[in-house]
Amino acid sequence: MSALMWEAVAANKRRSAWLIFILALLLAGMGGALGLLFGGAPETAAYGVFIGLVVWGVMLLINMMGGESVLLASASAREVSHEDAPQLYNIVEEMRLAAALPAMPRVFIIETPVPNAFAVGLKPERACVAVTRGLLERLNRDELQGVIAHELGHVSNRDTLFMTLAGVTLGAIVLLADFGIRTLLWGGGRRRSSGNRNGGAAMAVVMVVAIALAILAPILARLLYFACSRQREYLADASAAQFTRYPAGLANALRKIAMQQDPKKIPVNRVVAPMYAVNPLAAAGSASLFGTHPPTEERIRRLMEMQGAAPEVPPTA
Amino acid sequence: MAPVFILLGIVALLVLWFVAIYNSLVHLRNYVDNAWAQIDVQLKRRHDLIPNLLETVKGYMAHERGTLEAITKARADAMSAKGPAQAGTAESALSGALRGLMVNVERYPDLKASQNFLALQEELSSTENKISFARQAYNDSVTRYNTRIQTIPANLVAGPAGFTPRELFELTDEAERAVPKVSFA
Repeated sequence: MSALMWEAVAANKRRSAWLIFILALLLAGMGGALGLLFGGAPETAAYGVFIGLVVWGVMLLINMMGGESVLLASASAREVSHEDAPQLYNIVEEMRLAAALPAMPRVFIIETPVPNAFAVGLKPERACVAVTRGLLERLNRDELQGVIAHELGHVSNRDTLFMTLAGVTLGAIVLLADFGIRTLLWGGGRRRSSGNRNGGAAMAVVMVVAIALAILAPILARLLYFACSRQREYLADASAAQFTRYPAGLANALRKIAMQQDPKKIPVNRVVAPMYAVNPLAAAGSASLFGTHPPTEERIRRLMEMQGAAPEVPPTA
Repeated sequence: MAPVFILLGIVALLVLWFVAIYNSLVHLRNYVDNAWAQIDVQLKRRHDLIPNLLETVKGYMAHERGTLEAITKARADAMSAKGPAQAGTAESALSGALRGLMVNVERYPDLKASQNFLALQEELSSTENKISFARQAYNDSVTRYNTRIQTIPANLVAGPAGFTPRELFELTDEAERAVPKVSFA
């Protein structure tokens, strides 16, 4: 076991915690800016922050209610048992032991020739793994093990929970910004009618900063969200390497999967897309700032680096 | 009066500190126990699979009685082993015996093609994988637990409270360890 894999996991976790923290600050700043714009006084900024938090809480509740079953249904996944797909089921069980998950995840198959896989479940106890028929047909046992390890890596790193949190925070910021900008364009809220405008020049500067924040915060938050998502992919890759102790398995699988993506043949929408092992909606190798997945070549390069650092042990399969 | 309260405060803090460390140690120890239970399940599963396997290959491999008996004996030893260290040795021997059988299977194309055997082979090799992945998780948890109870400050609590180090589960395979002999004849 190389120290490199452990370090990659630890460093990624630190970075993700920072990203969430900054997103939360942005949300608070956004609320404060709106409070200032519409109230016109420093006290109202605090109300703005409070309203921002309430919006966030409501959106989080709505998001949690949907749960796994809705996502799985929208991808038309069918649950399978050990008898239906012995090898797949065995591999999932092997990886759940390596990941030391508290319970056996439910296993699903999606009938489509495009090779891909995803995991859902806010808690590790309720995890579900779905793979497509194309994945089962194209990958050998080691490669399939790598992909399953990557998905269970998402589960054991609590990525589903993490990305729900990040997504809801982003949603709240965008919603508040939309509301703020629209109201300002419509007539400037209560700004002009409020009587307690203390100190002209200083307040004007604060107002300009608040408006700038209202415009920039959603853009910044989006960039951060996608950066989060890409970090979590690298983290899941590192976890997969740690579970299988054979990073080349996943690297080979990624190579095969990336060549075969066709969004027309896979039941996918923008909600489910980021959860797949390789994003079916993104062109292979594109490294945009607004992408949920890092470029596949870079993922493979990092995996092979870990492989080089790992002792040359053939996989147990 | 004041010194008494200060003293009481210090005692209360010490008790709280003791409780916090004690609880975290119990947590780690339960984690180790659970990880061992996971290995145990897989080892039992392998023991259960073997009679089935022997039944399937018997018809084809009548001449390999020695190999089959070695497996039966290794299985009996493994089933009566106690504790991680003993189980490690016995299970390694069983793995070795099974590998010997799989090598011999190469000479029986009919058996290799049999659907029943193929299914059993997947189950057996997957169980071997599960054992090694569960072992990986168990050994990681033991290392974490042992390190914790042997380092300051938890060692001050671990000793009096009776937390003792656990054994790692090692599968030492003679065949894997041996240096390959190359002869240029």
